[in-house]
Amino acid sequence: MDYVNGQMSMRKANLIGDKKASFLRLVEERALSKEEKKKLQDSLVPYIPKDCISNILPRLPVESLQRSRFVCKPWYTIINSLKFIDDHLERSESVLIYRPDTFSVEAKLPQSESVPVLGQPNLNPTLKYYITFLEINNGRSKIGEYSVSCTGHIRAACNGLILLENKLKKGGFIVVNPVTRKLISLPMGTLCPADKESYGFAFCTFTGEYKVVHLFQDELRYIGYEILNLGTRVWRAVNGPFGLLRWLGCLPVLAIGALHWVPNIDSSDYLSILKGLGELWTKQLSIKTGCILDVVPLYSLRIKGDLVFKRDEDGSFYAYDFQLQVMRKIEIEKERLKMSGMYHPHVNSLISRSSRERSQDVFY
Amino acid sequence: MKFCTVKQYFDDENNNNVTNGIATTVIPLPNKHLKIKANNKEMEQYEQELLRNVMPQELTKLILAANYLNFKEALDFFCRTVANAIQNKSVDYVRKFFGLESDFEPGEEEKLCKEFAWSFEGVDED
Repeated sequence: MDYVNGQMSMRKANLIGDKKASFLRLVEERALSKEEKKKLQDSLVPYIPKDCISNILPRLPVESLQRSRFVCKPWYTIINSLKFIDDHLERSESVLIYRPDTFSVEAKLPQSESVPVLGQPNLNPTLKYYITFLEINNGRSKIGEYSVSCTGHIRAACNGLILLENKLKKGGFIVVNPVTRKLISLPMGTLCPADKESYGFAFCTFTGEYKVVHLFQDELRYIGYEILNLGTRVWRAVNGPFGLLRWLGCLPVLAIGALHWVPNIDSSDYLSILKGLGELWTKQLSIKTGCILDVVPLYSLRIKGDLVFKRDEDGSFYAYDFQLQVMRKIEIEKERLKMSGMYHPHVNSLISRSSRERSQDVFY
Repeated sequence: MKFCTVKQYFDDENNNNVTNGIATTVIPLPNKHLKIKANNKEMEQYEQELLRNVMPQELTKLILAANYLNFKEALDFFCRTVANAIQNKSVDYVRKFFGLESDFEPGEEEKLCKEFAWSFEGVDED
């Protein structure tokens, strides 16, 4: 009996032993797999929520942003969304754009094959200039070039869109964003001599439209005003203050939602300013300026707030830092700065012509 | 007010979002911030020190931690660092960095690449 019991108890013991062993084995296996799982989890990149991505992407420079569209569909949708484009614009610092003197001659139209226009032989091959930009940051500057060429002068710039003269056969203007390379063409305004007109380009927050404003002086020296909406591309005349302007050679400055022209620059300390956008033109304002420095303000950095000046004497640039209250000279490679014409403040953005127009290819 | 999420974090034991290593990096930040609030350069130096030992891939975890803990300055700082790390890199590098896969159809991707071919110039080596 005992023997049997003994055997039975041994078997039981064995069974229990086996159970224990298998139980132990099970525990070991589970521990191992947990460790493996943890290892796997550690090596896996965690999923980043969308608002974190929206925090990272606007900080990228525009060239990287263009490429980042192709990472995956959600990123494509984010980068093309209007909100993102606006956020990115808010964070982008201003640059100065200009058209340098050196140009590239397009070899596309050899003399012998050129088509005469209106009976006149086409004498000049098309001269193309590459738009160049100057970035100023912490006392240093960087000069870059857009791969966008223009045939005429830069007339104005706003929110990353540049208004260019189109010197080709058709004439008129082109509005181009050199970053996205999207462009549209516009008709010229009323024709008049170059020193008797001025173009301004601004975004009217009221109507959500981009507008081009043209001030011009006719033979009787009266000032005409006309406006073009980028959406309609049609010029229409508007009424403006009568007889205030004597000189239109300056560029308008965009500030506080309106374009400001400085019609008189004389020896007095007062600057009169003509201000308007769209149908509303206010009377001229006068502000007193103390002319201590022999520098001319060019533009202010939209994010940092520094005021950038140019010294006509030697063509050097200075930036005034309001935080540190110090005026610093900017290091610039002088050879690359030779140009004719004006400097325009500009910003690298992804803006397309109408803020209301949605991009056609958005993936959901 | 900055630590209400941290309190919740300590109470909530089964937390997969923030591992211990990450926590030790992120949590001392608010104190440091308060101490060197005025001096930006010192803060920059401290941040550089912090990041020297961190692998780029760990940055994504740091971002998640800062996001979970609702800690804005750290989140901004980590996002800035990630932006610097991925700028000018190829699309594949960015995908690997975030563990993403391309969900474009093969035809679509080709079409887009052709359209924007000029944006692929000047990319850094991986």
